[in-house]
Parts: sequence; structure tokens; C-alpha cells
Amino acid sequence: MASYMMNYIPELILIIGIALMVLFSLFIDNNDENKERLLAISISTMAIVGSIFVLIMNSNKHVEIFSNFLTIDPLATIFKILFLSVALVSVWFFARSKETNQFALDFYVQVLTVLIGMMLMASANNMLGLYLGLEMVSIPSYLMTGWKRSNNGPEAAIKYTIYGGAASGVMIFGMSLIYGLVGNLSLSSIANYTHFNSSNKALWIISILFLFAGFGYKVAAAPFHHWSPDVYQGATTPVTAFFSVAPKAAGFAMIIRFFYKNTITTSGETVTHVLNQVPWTLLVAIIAVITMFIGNLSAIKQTSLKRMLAYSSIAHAGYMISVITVSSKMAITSILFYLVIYLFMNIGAFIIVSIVMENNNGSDDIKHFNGFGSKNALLAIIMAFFMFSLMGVPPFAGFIGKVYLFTALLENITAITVTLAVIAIINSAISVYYYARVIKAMYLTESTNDSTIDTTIDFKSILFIFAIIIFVLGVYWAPLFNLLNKAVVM
Amino acid sequence: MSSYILSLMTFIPLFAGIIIASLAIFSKKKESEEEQDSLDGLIKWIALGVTLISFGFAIWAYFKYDPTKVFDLNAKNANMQLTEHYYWIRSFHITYYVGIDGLSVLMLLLTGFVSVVGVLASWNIKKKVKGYYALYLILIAAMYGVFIALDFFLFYVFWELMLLPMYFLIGIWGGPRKEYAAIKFFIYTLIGSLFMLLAIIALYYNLPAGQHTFNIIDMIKHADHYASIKILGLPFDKVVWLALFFGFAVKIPMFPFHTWLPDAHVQAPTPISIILAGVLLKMGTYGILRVNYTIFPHATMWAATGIAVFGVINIVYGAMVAMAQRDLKKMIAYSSVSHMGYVMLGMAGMTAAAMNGAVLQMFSHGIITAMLFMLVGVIYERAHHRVIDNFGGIAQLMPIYAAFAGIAWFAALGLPGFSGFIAEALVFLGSFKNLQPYVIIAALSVILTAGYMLWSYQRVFFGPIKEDMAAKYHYRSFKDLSIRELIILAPLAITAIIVGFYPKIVLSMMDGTLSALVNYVTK
Repeated sequence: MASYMMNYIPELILIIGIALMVLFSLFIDNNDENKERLLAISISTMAIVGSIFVLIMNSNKHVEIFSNFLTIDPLATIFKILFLSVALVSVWFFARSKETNQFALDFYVQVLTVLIGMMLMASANNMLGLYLGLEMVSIPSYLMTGWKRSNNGPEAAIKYTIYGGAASGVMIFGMSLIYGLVGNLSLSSIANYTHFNSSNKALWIISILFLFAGFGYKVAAAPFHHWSPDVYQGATTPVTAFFSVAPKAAGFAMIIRFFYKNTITTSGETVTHVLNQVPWTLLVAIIAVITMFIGNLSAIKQTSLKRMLAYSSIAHAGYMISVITVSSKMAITSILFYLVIYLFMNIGAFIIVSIVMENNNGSDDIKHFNGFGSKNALLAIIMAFFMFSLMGVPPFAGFIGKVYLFTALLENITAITVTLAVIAIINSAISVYYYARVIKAMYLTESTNDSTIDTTIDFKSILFIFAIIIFVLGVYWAPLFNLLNKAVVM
Repeated sequence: MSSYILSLMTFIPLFAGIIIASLAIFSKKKESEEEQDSLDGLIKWIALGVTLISFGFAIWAYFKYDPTKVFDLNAKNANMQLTEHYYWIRSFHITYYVGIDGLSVLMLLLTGFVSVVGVLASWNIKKKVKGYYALYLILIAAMYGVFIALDFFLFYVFWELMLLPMYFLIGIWGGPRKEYAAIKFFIYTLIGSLFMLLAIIALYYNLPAGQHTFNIIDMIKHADHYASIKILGLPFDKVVWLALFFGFAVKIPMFPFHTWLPDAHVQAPTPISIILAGVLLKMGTYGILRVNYTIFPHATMWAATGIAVFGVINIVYGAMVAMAQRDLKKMIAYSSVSHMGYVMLGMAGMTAAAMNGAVLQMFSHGIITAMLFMLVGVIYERAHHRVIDNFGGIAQLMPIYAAFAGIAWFAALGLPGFSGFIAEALVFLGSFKNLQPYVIIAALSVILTAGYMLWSYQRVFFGPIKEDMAAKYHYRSFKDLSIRELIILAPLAITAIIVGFYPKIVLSMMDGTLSALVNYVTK
């Protein structure tokens, strides 16, 4: 038992962090909010850094713990490091953004709880674990969305809760159907299921369809995406930045676990799996196509930057979902690679949006970007880097990310993958239009007012680092790719 | 140093561009106007120096190039010269592989020449000078890169790298509808090149296991393999050929994907029009020759008639639309569409003479159109309009200008003695064997070309001065060409004439390469 717990240390550190925060808050003078906040920020930062450190130390481990309930493998570890890194940047962002810097200790408790949930999603080897993780992420997320009562947060939070409740209800129904079929909730038992025949085929299809309600909701795939624009717009910008990457990555971790568990061997070949008998690739392909089109076409007409980025993140989920249809090592690596790059470009874009909002009374309308290029050349060029990277043009990392997605799709050509690749291309071209609107506003349009846009040195340096990463990964990405490729062993 | 000619040629402008861009970003807000202006003045000279250095390297490459060593798959590097080959991304088999043959050396010369002309033409730009030259130099670097790359991934990166500076150069420094023109250019070319990207990845994965590569020369060695496999029941080589061709055709621009060109040209500032027409369009036809012809000889033979058909459509359609234009710059933009049609026709001819004509036309059109756009820029700078009918009698006011315009106009319509004539004649002669009906139509439409060129020249330069317009636009106060404008126009005119009288200077460089290419494709 003790050795089991050894492998659970990263999560335990976070749990201790939560416990400490709750405990300390009892002893701190209630009137001294600043002290409390400082304490919360330092404990969360230390917990996250400690957790990342332990994960890196044990990154090669491959064990199953808690009676095969959780898998600790390099893939899960990479995902966990990804979540924690997002959280680390987000904690800084929460602490420094004017929108969220008044949030007290209990807010950071939610953040750490979400983290534990996401780590559970990445590790779970059991549908119950997946479900628990999903709920553990969702419920604090509802709270975080509505944390600030002044703007549209509470309304968005209610929407989020209702959608989330419905989606997870449908999902758990699908899980119960599978339980009925297999007699077990473990993913390995599903993989080893041998009684597949024509009479239960329909039931399998239905249950996977239902499961996808939960998956789709978490990664904001159409037609389960309706919550995301409202939540992204209603929540405070740092929270949105966090939501746009971390839970989405957790959703992909879950999807990869579910569909690829025991389907891919170390050497990258696919083996027989009950899911290979069900036409789920077609289902996923259809979802991917709808998601890409809805995301990109809806983003075109948005004037609120946060809403536009919400739709753009739906579209990016669509690109990644289309790769799910390919059961290959390359597919998983390319999704991981894309997620890492997506982290930098998307969070970076949200940080800039929040800076612009702070300088314009909290409005995220695109017109406030007019003349940005001459108001603050450094921030504007960094934003341009992020936009070009999101478009996927060289020499930025987003391009390489897309190249690998296409590579995964075209490695073994089938009618579905070629169609998906062509549709992804058309969508990339559509997306250029709305990202370019930001560029256009920044450089091609003159500002109508003479307000300035500026920020503190820590914002500037973090953004600068992000921009450099986006550029460097666009030119030399081999170390990152090899690292991720090594981790993808099931 | 001589073994790094190609890299230096490309990366000097690239780094100069990045440094100037950083200067623009990190420099403090204007402290004093004068200080800012002196720095801007310096940057112009730096840009001129950098483009001259790169042009120098291009000339050096021209002299180092040995035209007797022609394309041969059995030779090392297939006889590509001045090659450099390094690993870039080992796990994905991407290399930094550059080299030149007779085709690219000519394009490098053209790029060098036109880029220097472009800097001189930009001399009067006052708005955001640092940003302008930074983008300009990055654009130049990307163009050099396209012409030297022998690794398909590298090629694609350079190909796309050109989009961003071009977008800004049209979008910030352009005319009234610059934003529309810039985004249209961007989206059109991006769709084309994304199809190219898919084709590249498909090419990569459809090599035999263990031999995956982006190396174009290695891909050529597998030409028969590509021709033998199928993709979803369709012949692989033809499908991929079409995807690549689409990517290149948007750049040429081939009818019906040409509509970005008139918008981009009309809105772009003069130097950018010069670069666009002078070099950028050639990248499309260069790409087809470099990639489609070599990797897919069978599919190319299959598609040759198709190229010819679209070439002829470009010629006739471009000429007819040009004739209908009221705006001088738009007329020249459409004349580019028409002239690029000759290149396509020549490429489809599949004889050494036709191919020589096609590539010579690429070169000659680059020179002549650069001159035409410069001339339009000169008059626009003075009159602030370009409507053909509002001019008249300009020859009386600006005789030297009219003389240079005469040279450019006659060179463009293919008068003997100018490079355009040799090119068109070679295209017609060479293609006649295989493509008789198309050549006849194309040759007849030379009349159309003469028609719109002469008619526009007459309306602008001859006849009485229109007094009402002269009063409105102050024609009487127009000065003739300045020294700077003369320095730009004279070398262009001289080149067009020299190549017109002694085309061997160009043909001798490329003839070997192109004959080998034709033999390879038609075998």
C-alpha cells in the first residue's frame, strides 16, 4: 500500500496544499485579505512546482495503482505536467490581473481541486475514475466561472452547470450501458471484450455515442459546445485562459485513454479491440467536421475578442479531434504536441486581451485593438506572433503543430482521413480571416482615441518568453517532439 | 566562403530584416523628429546595401555556376551546384538542403536585380520606415530561399514566409482598398499552399518504408514508384500533381485563380508591385518546373495539354481584360496575367526551345513589368491618379519619361529587339510541334497585346494636352525623371535590350538544364 502511495505523491502534494490553505485560513486574521491571498498564492505555487518536480523525477514510471484503478505512465505524466504548467502560469495570472487579483484564498482551493480532477482524468484506467475526474473538474469550474459577481459570470456559470450536468448525465448513462455489456468498468476489460456480435452492436454504438456527450462537452466539441462562448466571455479573462487550455487537454487525455487503451502497442501497431468493430471513427470524423466549421464560421462575426477566441478554441479542438480518428502513435504525439503549442499561443493571446481590457475599462471589443501597433510595438508584435501561430503559418510553432496533425492524418491514407485533412485545410483558410482581423486592427487601422496600452514588466517578460517559445518551436522543435514521442507508450 | 554563397545570399537580408524590426519595436518613442529621420535615412542605405550584397552573391553564383553540368540523377546531388546539406529535424527527415541549377541561377539574378530596384523605388516612403524595410528584407530573403531550396519542407517554409511581409506591405503602405487587397492575397495564396502542404506530406509518407524524406532530389529518384502507386483507387501521381499544381497556379496566377492579382497590384505601393510582378509570380511557374515536372514526369505529360489550355486562356483573357481597363496600373496587372500565359504555354510545349522560351519569358517579364510598374509609379507620384483617359500629351511635358515608357511599352508587346520578343518567339516556335492550335490562338492574340499597349500609350503620351485635366492635376508643373528614377529605369531598359539582342547571355545558362529536363520528362 505504501508503495502505491509513493506513486500518488504528485496528487498528494496538491491535496496537502489544499488542506494547508484551508487550515491556515482559520488562523489568519479575517480582515487581512492581502496576507491571506499571499499565503494562498504561495502555497498553490509551491504545491504545483513540487508536484511538477516529483512528476519529472518519476517520468519513466509505468505502473498501475489502487487495484488497476489508475495508470501511472509517461503519457499520463506528460499530460499532468501540461496541466500543472498551465496552472502555474494561471496562478501568476490570477494574482496579477486586475480582474482577479482580489480573489481570496478559497478561489485557489478550487484551482488545485480542478488540477487533481484533471490528473485523475489523465490517469484513470476505469470509467468510474474518468467520470469522477470529469466531475471533479467541472464542479469547481462552475464556481470559478461565476466567481466575480459583477459581470456576466453568474449567468455563464448557470449555463455551464446546466450543460455540464446534462452532458455528464448522458455520459454516465452510456457508461452504465457499457457496464451492462462488459460487466466491469475497467478500460482493460472493455478492451478485452470478446462477445461482440451483431446483436449487441447497436447497443455499443449507442453507448459510445452517449459517452461522447461527456467527452465532447469537456473539449467543447460541436454539438456540445454551446456553453463555451458564454463561459469564456462571462468568466474573468485569467479564468478563461485557464479553461481554454487545461480542461480541454484533460478532455483529450480522457479520450485518448478511452479509445486507445490497449489498442496501440509499444511499437505503434494497432491490435484488435472491441472499439475497432464499432464504426466510431466515422462518428468522430463527423463530430470533428462539425466542430471545425462551427468554430471557424462563428468566430468570423465576433467583435468580442474573448468570444472570438472561444470559437477559435472550438475550431482548434476540431483539428485535434479529427486526428483521433487515426489510431496511431503519431496521432497521439501530434495531439500532445499541438496541445503544448496551443498552451503558449492561446494563453498568451488571452494575457494580451486582458491587458487591452484593463486599459479600456474592461471591454474586449476588437476596436480597442485599433492602432495597437503604434501604441505599444512590443505587445502588438507579440500578439501578432500568437495570431500567426494560431493561423498556422511558418515560421511559428502553430504551423508545425498543424503539420504534425496533417502528418498523422495522412500517414495511412483512407477516404475519411483525406476528407478530414482537406476540410481542416479549408478551415485553416477560413480562420485566417478572423485572426487577420486582429492583425488588421493592430496595424492597418488607425486608433480613434489616444489612450495608451501598457503593462508591468512581469506581464511583458512572460509574454516575451511565450513569443520566443512560439518562434523557437516553429524553427527547431525536434527536442520537444522527441520528448513527447517517447512518452507515447501505452 | 564560396561554399556558403547561397546561404549568405538568403540569410543576410533575413537577419538584417530581423534586426531592423527589433530596432522598430524596441526603439523609444520619437524623442525628436530629426533624430528619427536620420536613423530612417540610414536604414534606407542599409537596406540598399544589403540587397546589393545579396545581388552580388547572386552574380557570384552566376559566375560560379557551371552550365555544362546538367541535371543527372546518377550524379552526386543530381548535378545541383553550390549545394549545402545539413540536418535540421532528424526525426522527421527534414534537412537544410540548398543548391542551384540553370533555372534557379537565373531566378536568383532576377530576384537580386529586382530587389535592388525595389529599394530604390521605395526611397520616398515616409511612413514607418523601419517597419517597411524590415518587412521588405524578410520578403527578399524568403524569395531567395524559395529559389535555392531543394528540401521540400524548407521550400514550403520559405514559400509561406513570404506571405506575412507581403500582407503587411500591401496592407499598411497600400492604396485606399489596401485591407481588402491584402487579406484577399493572403487567403488565396494560403489556400493554394495548404493544398501543397498536404501533397508534400503525402509524398513523404508514400515513399518506401525507411526511405521517408523531404529531399526533392531523392523524391525524384522515386518518380517511378510514385507513378505506380494508387491513392484511394486513383493514381497517386496525378492526384498529388494536381494538388501541387493548384498551389503553384494561384501564385502564377492562372485563370480562374487570378482575381487576387489586380487587387493586390492596384493597392500595393509601387515597389511592392515591382516585387510582386517581377519575382513573386515567377515562383509559381518555377515551382511547377522544379517539383511537378521532376517528381511526376508521367503526370506532367498527362497534364501538358491542360497547362497549355489554361496558358492560352490566360493569354487571351488577360489581354482582353487589360484592354478594357481605365486604370493604368490595373491594365498592367492584367497584362501580367496575359504574359504569364506565355510561360505556361511554353512549359507545356515539351521541347527544349519552348522551355527556354518559357523561362526566358519569366526573366524578361520580370524585368519589363518591373519597369512598367515603376513608370506607372512615377506618373502616379506626380498626378495622384492613374486614369488613362485623363492623361494626354504627357510626351510633350516629360520627354525622357515618355522615351523610357516607349521602351517598356514596346518591350512588353514583344517588339523585336527586346527580350520579350525572343521569349515569345521561342515559345511559339518550340510549342508549335506539339500544340499547334494553341500556338495559333496565342500568336494571334499578340495582336490584342499590341492593341492595348499601343492604345494606352497613345492615350497617355500623345495627342494634345487636355487643358482641363492639366489644370486639375497640374500637369504643367510636372518635372521629368529625377536622377533616382533614371538610375532605376536605365538598367532595366538596358537589360531588356541586351537580352533582346544577345539572348545567349541568358540562354547559355539555362539551356543545358532545361534540355535535360525536357528529355527527362518526355522520355
